[in-house]
Amino acid sequence: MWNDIRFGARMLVKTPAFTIIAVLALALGIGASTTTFSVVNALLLKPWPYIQDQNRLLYVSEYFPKVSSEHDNGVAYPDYLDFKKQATTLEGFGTTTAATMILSDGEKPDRYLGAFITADAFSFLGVQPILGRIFRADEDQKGATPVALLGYEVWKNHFGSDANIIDRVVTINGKRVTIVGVMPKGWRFPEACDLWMPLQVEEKENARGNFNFACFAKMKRGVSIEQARAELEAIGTRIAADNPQTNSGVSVRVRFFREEAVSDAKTLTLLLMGAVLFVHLIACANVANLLLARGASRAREIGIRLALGAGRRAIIRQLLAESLVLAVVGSALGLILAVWGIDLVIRAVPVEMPYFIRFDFDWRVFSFSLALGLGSAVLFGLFPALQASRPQLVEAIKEGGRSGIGGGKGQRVRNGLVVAEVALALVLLVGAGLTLRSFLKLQATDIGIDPSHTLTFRVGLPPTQFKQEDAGRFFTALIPQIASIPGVESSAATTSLPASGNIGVSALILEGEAEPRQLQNARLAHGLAITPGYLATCRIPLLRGRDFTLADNKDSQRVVLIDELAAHKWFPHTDPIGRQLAMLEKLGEPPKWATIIGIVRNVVYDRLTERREFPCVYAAQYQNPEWFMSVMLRTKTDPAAFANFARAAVLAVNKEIPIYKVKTMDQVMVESFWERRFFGTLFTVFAGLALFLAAIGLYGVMAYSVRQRTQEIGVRMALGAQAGDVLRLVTGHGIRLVASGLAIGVVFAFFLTKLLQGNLEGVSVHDPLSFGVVSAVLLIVGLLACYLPARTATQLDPVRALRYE
Amino acid sequence: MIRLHNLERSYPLGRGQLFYVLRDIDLDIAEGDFVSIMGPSGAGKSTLLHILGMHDHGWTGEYFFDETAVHHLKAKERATLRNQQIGFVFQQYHLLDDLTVYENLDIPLSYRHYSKSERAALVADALDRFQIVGKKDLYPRQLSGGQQQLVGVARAIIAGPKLLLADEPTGNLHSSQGEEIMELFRRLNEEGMTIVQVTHSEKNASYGKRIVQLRDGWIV
Repeated sequence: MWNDIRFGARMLVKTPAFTIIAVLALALGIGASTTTFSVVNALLLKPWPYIQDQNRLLYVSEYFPKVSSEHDNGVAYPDYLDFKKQATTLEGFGTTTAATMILSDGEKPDRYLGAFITADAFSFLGVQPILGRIFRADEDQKGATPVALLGYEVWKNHFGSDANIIDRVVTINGKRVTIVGVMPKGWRFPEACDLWMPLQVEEKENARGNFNFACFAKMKRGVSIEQARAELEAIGTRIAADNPQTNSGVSVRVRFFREEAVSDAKTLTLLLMGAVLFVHLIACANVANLLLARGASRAREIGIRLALGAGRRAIIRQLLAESLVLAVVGSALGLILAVWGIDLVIRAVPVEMPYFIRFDFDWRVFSFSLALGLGSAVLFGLFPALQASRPQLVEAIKEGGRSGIGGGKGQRVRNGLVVAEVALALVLLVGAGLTLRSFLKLQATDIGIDPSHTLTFRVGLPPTQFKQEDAGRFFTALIPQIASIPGVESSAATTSLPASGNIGVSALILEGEAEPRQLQNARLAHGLAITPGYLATCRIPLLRGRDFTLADNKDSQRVVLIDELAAHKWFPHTDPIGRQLAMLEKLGEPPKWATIIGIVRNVVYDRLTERREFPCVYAAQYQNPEWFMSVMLRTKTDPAAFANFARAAVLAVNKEIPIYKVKTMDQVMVESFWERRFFGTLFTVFAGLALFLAAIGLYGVMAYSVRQRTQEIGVRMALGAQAGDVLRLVTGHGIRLVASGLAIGVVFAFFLTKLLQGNLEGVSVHDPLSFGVVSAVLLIVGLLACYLPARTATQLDPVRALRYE
Repeated sequence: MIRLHNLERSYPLGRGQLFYVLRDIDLDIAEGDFVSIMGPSGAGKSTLLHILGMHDHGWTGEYFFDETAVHHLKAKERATLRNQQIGFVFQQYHLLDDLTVYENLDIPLSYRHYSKSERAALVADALDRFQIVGKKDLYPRQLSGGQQQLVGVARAIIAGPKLLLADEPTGNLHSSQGEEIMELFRRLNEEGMTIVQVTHSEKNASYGKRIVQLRDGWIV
């Protein structure tokens, strides 16, 4: 075998053009496949760092099937306590809520995303700190000494990797907190947190009906998810029976934690993996075609070997050894391409990835790459080897004194491979076309505001440190400060940015209506608070009534704005202006009535890929101040250039308050559908690669065919064929192949695009435009790929062609 | 019918030097003539035949075909003239493998834009005339060498050329098959077809009316 490999390598070196083309085609296929596999590995296969027995980790949520079976509400805190107390199938049950944590020890305040988490969570997750200890079980009790765990990066960057950090008291959100431990590098549970504090919850402030906690649990060893689900559902039913007003119609969702964490990207990633394997198949078909052509040109060498007594098996082994060398070199180069590919993929993701998604290569990625290479060697090498090793000595001799021209026994197989390549390319291009159209439609969505020339940032006062009145005063002072920056047209603040998805759903009642007996029957609406000037800054048209003013403060009568949908849905036959509504903040408490003073145009607040049809109610920020707001400023020039001015303006109002999530509104829009753009771009890149490879394949086959048919073409010219006839002859052959590929591809695409169902916006999976344009593009590219060999054929000298052997 | 005057064909050897394949050829061929071009290998016989057949354009001198100055024609005009006036028979038959006998006969007609019905009639005539009706659906590989060359001749004359050029037409055939083909040529010539053949065989040359000897590119 070693001799075969050595000889194979020598033969490959002797034909550098063939070797380079074959290796590059394989490297492109393997590189693209390995890049995508790294994503699949990161999402679905690679164990998450530090978490023990992660296959027993569950995600638990509550939701109203009547409202939406897709959207989880989270778990109400009292429900969480019941689940935790009553579940016997679980080893641990935890909850966490993300929060801004401002570390103000140092020259300037640093804002981190932190998490309040149940004290025993890290214990049952199995993670150990690198310094100090994790939380004690009693540290989430009300009144316990405030403690915190530092993330590795905070410890390193904020505290200079101070080895004596344990027991040091620092200020977090204005509170003196003792550091009890430092977590290992890379640990950012649940997704991207850098600081952790025990979750201390006042049950009376988080009554039933407020479904706002993310819960996770760990099953006991030997328990199946079905058993755990059955038990939690039974507990949920008991809670509903005891608390019908809040929990009637509430269902419990139990999934594996990993499944939940990657649910958004899983389908598209697997589709992408399928697509990229198509690309690789096209690359393999190209190499197989090259090998078939090479085998034909080596018929004499192989014939001599057979005549000298070589067995067929020995010939096949030798030819496969060459394929093996190609595959190994292709795999190695493919891995290098994959390193760059992953780098590009990471750069293309505009949002922060959860800590557990790590694209670095591990043994799975290396094994995949090698296995793909070896598998491909068999795939593209075996048939050409079988074909070339056929003992056709007599036939070969007969063909030497041939009576006619144009036989080419491998031609049918080569034609078949090109047809397959075109069909595969069409499927990929249609997929890319659909995702691209969907993404373009999303990009062109009218969200109800003018996102141009607008900078946004998040800022807020931690409720543990500041009272509600402080928050009111802060924003009252900040907005004019921002608006006075030269170049700023207007400024305002909102609890929810348009298209950000950062918006809650609240229950409400209209005047004259009784409070609903059950939460699931309540009127629901998106609710947000805004400052005066928000409509002008966003350029949201006020359709009727008036906008908020500074006079709408805590001393004045409560007022709200509603959108067109609310007006249409709630007041179909009456004028909403002057009517009253009340948001049900806590069930059982007397409703706080507010008067509707205006109707505005509908605005999309959900992420564009997760739109829900809820009416919208705008509350006046200064009547019931929120602690955290997104500030928006409309600028006359490039909005990104105003970030530092905005930061300075905030520090001028309160030097301890940092700003974060500084983005232009255009960026917010892009993030609103980034997955679609990301996968659409990758699909398009891979489809482009497929098109390129298929075109090269077609060109190769046509060029080879022209070479094989040189004599035939010469005869035809001698018999009277003119340039046009020869051009038609060659391109006709190519176009027949392309047309066959298109026909087969369209049928496959028709069925395979159904896999994209649910991941497209405003485009049918059988969109005729995408199918039509893609077919036309492939046909044009196919024509071009045929044209060059065809033109060569027309320029043949018939005298030479007739002598050609 | 054909008049060549001072015709020369050469190939560059590099450094401005030329290798002459044909030198100062003066040749007249009358209508109804049957000329055999003979000479040793490399004498330029096939080259001369391809120049007569207007496949080769890299020559100098004068070539008149029925008073048409071929040397003044563009490539496309030559191709048109060739298609109207000349048929070709090859030593290796050069039938198209993937086409049946019928389709092989149809090919030259299709390049001359005959209508479908005209083509069908002409092919039927040719099959009948050459007594190969029973073989019309066979592929070349299913025929003997003699039969293949018979088809080759039929194909060469199907479009009614005035001149038939043949390059060693019996070179790949055994003697009895060769004789049949030469007899066929004689008959065609008697019917008025002008024939120019390249041959090594004295016997085949004897079927013609005169012999042109070539040596090192010169007519001797």
